Amino acid sequence: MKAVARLMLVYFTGTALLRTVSVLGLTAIVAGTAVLVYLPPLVGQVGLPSRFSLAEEALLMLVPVAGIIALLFGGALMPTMVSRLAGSHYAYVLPHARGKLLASAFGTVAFVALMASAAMYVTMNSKLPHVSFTYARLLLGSLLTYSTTYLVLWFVSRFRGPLAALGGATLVIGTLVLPLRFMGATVPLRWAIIPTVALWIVIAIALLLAPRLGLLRANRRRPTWRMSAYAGGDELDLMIGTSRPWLLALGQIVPIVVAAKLIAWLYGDVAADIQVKVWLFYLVILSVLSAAAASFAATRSRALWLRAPWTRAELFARIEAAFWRRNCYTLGVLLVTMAAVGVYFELPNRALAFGIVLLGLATAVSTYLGLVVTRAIGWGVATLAVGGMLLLFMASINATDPRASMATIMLLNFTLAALAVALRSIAKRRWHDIDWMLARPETAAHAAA
Amino acid sequence: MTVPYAAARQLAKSFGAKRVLDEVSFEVAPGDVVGVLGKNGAGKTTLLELMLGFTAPSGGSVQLFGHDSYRLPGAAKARVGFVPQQDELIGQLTAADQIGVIASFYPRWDDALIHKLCQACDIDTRERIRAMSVGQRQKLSILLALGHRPDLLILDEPVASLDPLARRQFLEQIVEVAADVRRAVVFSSHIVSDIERLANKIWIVKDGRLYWRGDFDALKESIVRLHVRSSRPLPQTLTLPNALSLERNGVFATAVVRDWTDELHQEVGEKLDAQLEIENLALEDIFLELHR
Repeated sequence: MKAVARLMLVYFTGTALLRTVSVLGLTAIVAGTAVLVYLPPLVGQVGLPSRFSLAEEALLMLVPVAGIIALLFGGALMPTMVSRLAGSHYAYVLPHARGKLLASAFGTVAFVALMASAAMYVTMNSKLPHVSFTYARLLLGSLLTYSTTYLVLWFVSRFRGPLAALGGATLVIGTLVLPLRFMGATVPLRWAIIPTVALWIVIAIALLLAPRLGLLRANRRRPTWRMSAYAGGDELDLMIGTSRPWLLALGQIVPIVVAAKLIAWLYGDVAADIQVKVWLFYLVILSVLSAAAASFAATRSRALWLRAPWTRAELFARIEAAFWRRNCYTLGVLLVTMAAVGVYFELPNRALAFGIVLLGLATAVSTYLGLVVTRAIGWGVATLAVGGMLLLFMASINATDPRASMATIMLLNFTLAALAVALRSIAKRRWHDIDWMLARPETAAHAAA
Repeated sequence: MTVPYAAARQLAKSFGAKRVLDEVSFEVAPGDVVGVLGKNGAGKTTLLELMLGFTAPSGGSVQLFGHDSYRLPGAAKARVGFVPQQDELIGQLTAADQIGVIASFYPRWDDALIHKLCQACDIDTRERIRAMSVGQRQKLSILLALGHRPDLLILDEPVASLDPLARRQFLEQIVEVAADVRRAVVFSSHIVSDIERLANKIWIVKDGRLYWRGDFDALKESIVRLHVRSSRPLPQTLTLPNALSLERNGVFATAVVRDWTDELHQEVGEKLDAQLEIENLALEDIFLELHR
């Protein structure tokens, strides 16, 4: 129990950044819900008076929501730490290590889900939660949402390259559409329980049986077809991991097909404009994920410094070009999908045009955000990343909304374009002075410490 | 006058408030085989990476072939071979493909040499790199640093993961490189016997400073063990000039001293009314004495 609690504490407080984010998140949840519960009629419910405008009310309600997001990312160390420890010798020598790791992982998710569901309940009802069908549904929905979110975080941090983006994107579908559906007022509670339990059974099996699975993997013979030589390509691309852009682009087709099936199944009975919103939101996430591989460029480019006859500035130019070459394939697939979605749902030209522009902007922001990462991620980059993602999501919600004003959409797109330009400028400056001792993950961690 | 391949003046490096290297000066000339010794965290890797321009110095300067390392031009890079502590191979490729990729960066590449070394090191070039053992990957890394016949070969802990046989092969290869007086080698290692066998110059990095920089023979002459045998009990507060360590036991004392001269020998002998015997130390003993 002590070890589990200790592990959970480390997940939320392992680094200065996570510590601060966790504390801020908890504070926002507690303070935000307290304001909503104990200061009536601060926020008006149906039929009740309010001292604030709708906009002010919306802002007040955002405080606990922001707290939930902060707490969720405050525990972002959990998936990485659990997978690292489970794969290390500690898992073999420490008593009941795997069981404790599993308990700590579930405890972390349960803690976030408890806080989130309580905060959401208070936000919706302006009173403290009590055991009820509504609260149980919220709690189970939160448990499923955050379980899949942490799984996505683990997937993205554990695996690199096209397959990681593909797998991460597929998992995102689950995070986006499944829990929301299972929280619906008319859905029986068992539909929230079954997927959550199933997911944790799979996680438990993977974690507890890892040694046996590892043994199987070690003994497996490599198929002969995988021994073939690489299919050629630019050496720089091979060394920084951009040599097979078509693989990543084709890989996008799988989550898109899965999403098409799921969205039709889960949202088939809702209005077309909602379905389009889900689609655009999802495609934006895909473009961000596929372009985010640029964050590995600094580490991978180390091997190029002594081999290639380029200065640091020339190296940046070539790496930037390599990533854009690679991203263009993926972006092409996403744009075609967006166009198909637009045609299928008879989307107005304005919405379709903004959707397409947004996908390009998402790729640009994500690529340059990745290229900025030439050393340990500090406050500046973290703020830019969070700000950029929020902007992208806001823009994706507004782009297909017929009620959104043209000025708002233009402003959001312009801000995103300006952010991409600013990020490129920062990345260029950083690459001109890139320090590969800091670009190595382990050294960066030491330097940050 | 021969231009040194590498030269540093008052080199310093800090990470935040932590000073990792300070006041480091050195030269590497053609024909030098420099062994870099130091404890874990002494600053060896930082020193080598500063030499290669991976990181910028916080103070002083370091040059390779007359160019600032941090802004190294392509022509100078083509004269350097480097084996990092952790290999930078691409796991998805076969060894042959990896060799092909690296070879493509250099204007001249000795295919025959690499072919010969692959056979000697028992590297199956059809094997995929991620299926190779750590030792095999390390051997491949070393081969890749030799293919373009660099004038300056820099190796950071190159033999750490090699078995004795592979280590012997590696050492033979370095001897071959070193036999060419136009080339120079700088390598760091924890295996003192390897450095003793190969190096003609030693750098000892201690607490971020170059504690010793010079010929191997000069180091062995400079730091010696002194056996003192006096005719009367030695004082409790016995001190010896330039002593790195001192142990006293009645009329006997043993000390490790630095820069011991004939004059000091005679003076101390007379002062203590003692017979003094000098014992030369092996490099490992010197290293241990310096880090006591």
